Amino acid sequence: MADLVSSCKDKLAYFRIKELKDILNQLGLPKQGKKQDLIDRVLALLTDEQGQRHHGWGRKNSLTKEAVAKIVDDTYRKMQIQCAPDLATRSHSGSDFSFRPIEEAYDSFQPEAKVRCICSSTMVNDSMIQCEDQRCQVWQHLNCVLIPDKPGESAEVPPVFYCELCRLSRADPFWVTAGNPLLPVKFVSSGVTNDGTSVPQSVEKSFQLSRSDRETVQRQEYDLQVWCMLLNDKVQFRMQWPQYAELHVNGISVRVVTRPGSQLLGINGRDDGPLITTCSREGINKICLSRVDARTFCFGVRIAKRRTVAQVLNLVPKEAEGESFEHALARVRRCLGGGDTAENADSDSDLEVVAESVTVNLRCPNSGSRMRIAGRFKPCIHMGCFDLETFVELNQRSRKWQCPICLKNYSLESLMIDPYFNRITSLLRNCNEDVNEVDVKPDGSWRVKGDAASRELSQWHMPDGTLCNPKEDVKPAMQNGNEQMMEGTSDGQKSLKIGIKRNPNGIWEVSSKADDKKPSVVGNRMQNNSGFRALNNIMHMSNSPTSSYRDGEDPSVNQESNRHVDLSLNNGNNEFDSFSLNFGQACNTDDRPQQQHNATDVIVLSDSDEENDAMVCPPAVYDNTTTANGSGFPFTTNGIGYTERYQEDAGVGTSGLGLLSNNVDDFEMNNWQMHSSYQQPEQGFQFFGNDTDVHNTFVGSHNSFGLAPNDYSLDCNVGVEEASVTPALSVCRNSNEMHGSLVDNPLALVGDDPSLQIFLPSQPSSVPLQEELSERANAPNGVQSDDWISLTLAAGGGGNEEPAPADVNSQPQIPSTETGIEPLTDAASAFLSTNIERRSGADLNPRRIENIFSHPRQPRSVRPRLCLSIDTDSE
Amino acid sequence: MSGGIARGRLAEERKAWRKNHPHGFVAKPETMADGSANLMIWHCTIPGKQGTDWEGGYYPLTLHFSEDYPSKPPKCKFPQGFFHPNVYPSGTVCLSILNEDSGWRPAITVKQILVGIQDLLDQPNPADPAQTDGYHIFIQDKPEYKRRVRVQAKQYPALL
Repeated sequence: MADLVSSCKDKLAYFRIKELKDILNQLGLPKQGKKQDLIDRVLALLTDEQGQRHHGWGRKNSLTKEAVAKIVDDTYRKMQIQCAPDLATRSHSGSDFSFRPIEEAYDSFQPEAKVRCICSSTMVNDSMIQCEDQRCQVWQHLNCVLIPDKPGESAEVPPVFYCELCRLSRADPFWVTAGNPLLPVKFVSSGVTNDGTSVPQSVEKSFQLSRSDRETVQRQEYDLQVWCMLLNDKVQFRMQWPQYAELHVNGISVRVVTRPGSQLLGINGRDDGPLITTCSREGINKICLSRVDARTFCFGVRIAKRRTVAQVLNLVPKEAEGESFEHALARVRRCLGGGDTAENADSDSDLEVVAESVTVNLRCPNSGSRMRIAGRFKPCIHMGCFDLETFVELNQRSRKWQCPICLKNYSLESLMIDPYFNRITSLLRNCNEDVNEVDVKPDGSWRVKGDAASRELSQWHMPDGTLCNPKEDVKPAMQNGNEQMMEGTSDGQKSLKIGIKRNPNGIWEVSSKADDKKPSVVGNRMQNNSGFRALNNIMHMSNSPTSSYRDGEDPSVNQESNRHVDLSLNNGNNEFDSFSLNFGQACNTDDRPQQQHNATDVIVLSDSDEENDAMVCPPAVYDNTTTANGSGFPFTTNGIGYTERYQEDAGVGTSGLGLLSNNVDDFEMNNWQMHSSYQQPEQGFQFFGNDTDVHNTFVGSHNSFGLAPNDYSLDCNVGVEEASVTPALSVCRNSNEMHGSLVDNPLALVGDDPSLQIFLPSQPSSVPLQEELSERANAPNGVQSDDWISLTLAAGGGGNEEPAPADVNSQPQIPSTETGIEPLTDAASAFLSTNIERRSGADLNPRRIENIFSHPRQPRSVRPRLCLSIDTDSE
Repeated sequence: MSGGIARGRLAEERKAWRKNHPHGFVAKPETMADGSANLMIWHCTIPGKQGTDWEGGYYPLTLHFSEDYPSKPPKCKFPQGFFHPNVYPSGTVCLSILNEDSGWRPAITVKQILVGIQDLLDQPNPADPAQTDGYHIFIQDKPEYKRRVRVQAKQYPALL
């Protein structure tokens, strides 16, 4: 019985993982773990059965153990059929023979196994081991290739075994083996003398070089190379020459190492394979290797083709193929969770631990400058990275496929790109080279450290590179806003139904109006609260007249002050549109905005089928249409609540922002509608006020409101212009300023200043405004800036193409590859905007005109209108 | 060839050193006959640490970088015959962080090398002797060792 267990043990050691899993599957045991674990599981079963047998359970347990042994034997036989048919003739002896059915002898013509061993023998014995390389799979004798560290001991079977040629190709991927004139030759020790000194030994071999081989090595990218390897080297993939190695090829001495003959190769050192192309000749060549070393080596001669750095880099998996972003992020979080592990994160300078984040240096340990492509070895547990291109180029010379941070040895096959850090380095690619450090929080969010970085990169980013929510600091306010928005939504749905009912009739009925009145009032209250909060932010950017006005009144009057600001905004906006209307417009100009308007309708309707967030769009569009047809403003007022919520939703979630950035026209349309229609609810609210001045202003606004159809068309047009030509924004502002000077009404004139102040924050480069801003005002200013940058992102990303409804439907399913592209687009757009701002410098008309003409991205029919605006500025 | 990697890294090291380096230390690439800098050889000066017998001395050290840098560490040499247990008679410094097979790793900067050697001056490693003279005196005759160190400190005064 012990003999049977021993026999099965030998066979199990012989099996590959695939066969072991088959056995465990038949036995109903778990199949996870390394190869040795699988073997131990089967052996444990055999041992347990043997133990139980001692308790005298008799025949049943014996049969079970026999069944296990039979399964092992069957699997072993199946494997041997393909390799060694003569093994089939073996049979078992002993008392258990009576339980085994007699096996037929297998056909002797079965294909022979691929046996290539360094002992040159192709005979198959009981102990064979197979190379793991899928393109190799050769069998070798266990005793020939597994050398124990000390004589007399038995070598342990490695979990993964590679033959010499496969180890050689992994030791130096800059050479590809094209042929082996001399297959690996074992260089075994013949023992030591009594005084412990190694005896000089030499091996002489001859190899054949055919005419075609000779012609091959004469070509530029091919060479004939002698290689040598220590069989039981701790570093699996490297060459190593013995001590006092002397090599002669055809009588010519060839130097193999640059270190003294008595010096051993250290754990971090690498040897090379000398090229003997010039020493070789056609026909028979002689090679002689002598040494004074007791260890077991093998050497050979091969025809090798050179690989370039670019070719080796192509063997590294691309970012999307190597590792998932989630996996990389989990590693970063694990490393930053524990203080000790975080030390690995720093690749160069001392680790600096600040309040809630850790400073990570992005310098490559090899190049000393910031990484371009963050590379790493897959098995490494630390989060430190190195520059991939520098590392591969460095190894062309050193052949040291070893992590420069933890010094563990791997091969090119384990090299990959780190998705997390590569995303950061990609965003930093256009930064100054002095930007080398980022602060990273335990959850993976990060920001660039230092003054050299751009303002946006100095803000906290989500792990995937998008900006964190700017409203994060005012969570209580956000919660209130959410509650109010939810209430608004429920009211909106009710109102939506009423509106839909009336649309087919197209008739204004008093009874219907009475029904609408109540929900309108409710909506107004919600909107007023939202507007009040927004106005508080705007108040920080008001000029002195408004501030002094507020200081001199009690709280109840303060609200009137807010309304006053609203009126000014409203007047400015409407009068701007009215002013533009005074210019003659071509028919095609009118047609284009309407077409885009219709396209937007289609897009919005499609969105409503995909996400709840998009539900706010259809009512807004419907209300706009109604207004264009001359309906009363109450429906427009109802629509405001939804657009308001839409805006806030966009600011809350990343997916919302992504949705907006992928629907350029839709985003622009909604943004402009929100802006222009934002003023309406205040008018409705003021309708119920008692203030005489407010009443008069309302009457005036009502007159301008009569121009709604054209106004909305203009709004659409202006919005599109902003999307395509960023500098056009300055033109709008110029028009606004000039228009202000044309108004005789003193109230409106004073009101234009706040309007101008509010527009300015959209361009961070405005120096005077920045000087005025207080620290508290920075937050809303940041919000405005982010929105503006998002606009630029939309422009850059979407261009002027009309996204089809199908594209809209596929938005939520954007692959991770495309997600990775967004940060690049974002960075490019941001820097492009920065460049535009810097070039514009001071607010001078000639510079603005110059900008407009220096960035003509798309020829458009609206361009003549821009010229008209410019002419106005000239006047 | 990857010789460009070594020179690129050394250019970064030079830049970093000029931006920030410890007081008293000197490190600059060798100036060749035509006035250009040879980045592969740096001439350095290491001040003796204050409060030690080495204080007052400014010891010249030469760093020889190979094309394999930073895969392989540079060879650091004091003048020939420098008195220290861990300095070979040729002047080569024997230090773990300068040994490819023990403590070297590519991220180690020139600054760290120089500070490490400064620490080594006053904290010899008797387990790894590199010269018989310094080693034997250090082991057997501490007062004589101190005297020899102070004499050597006077032999390398500050260059004014």
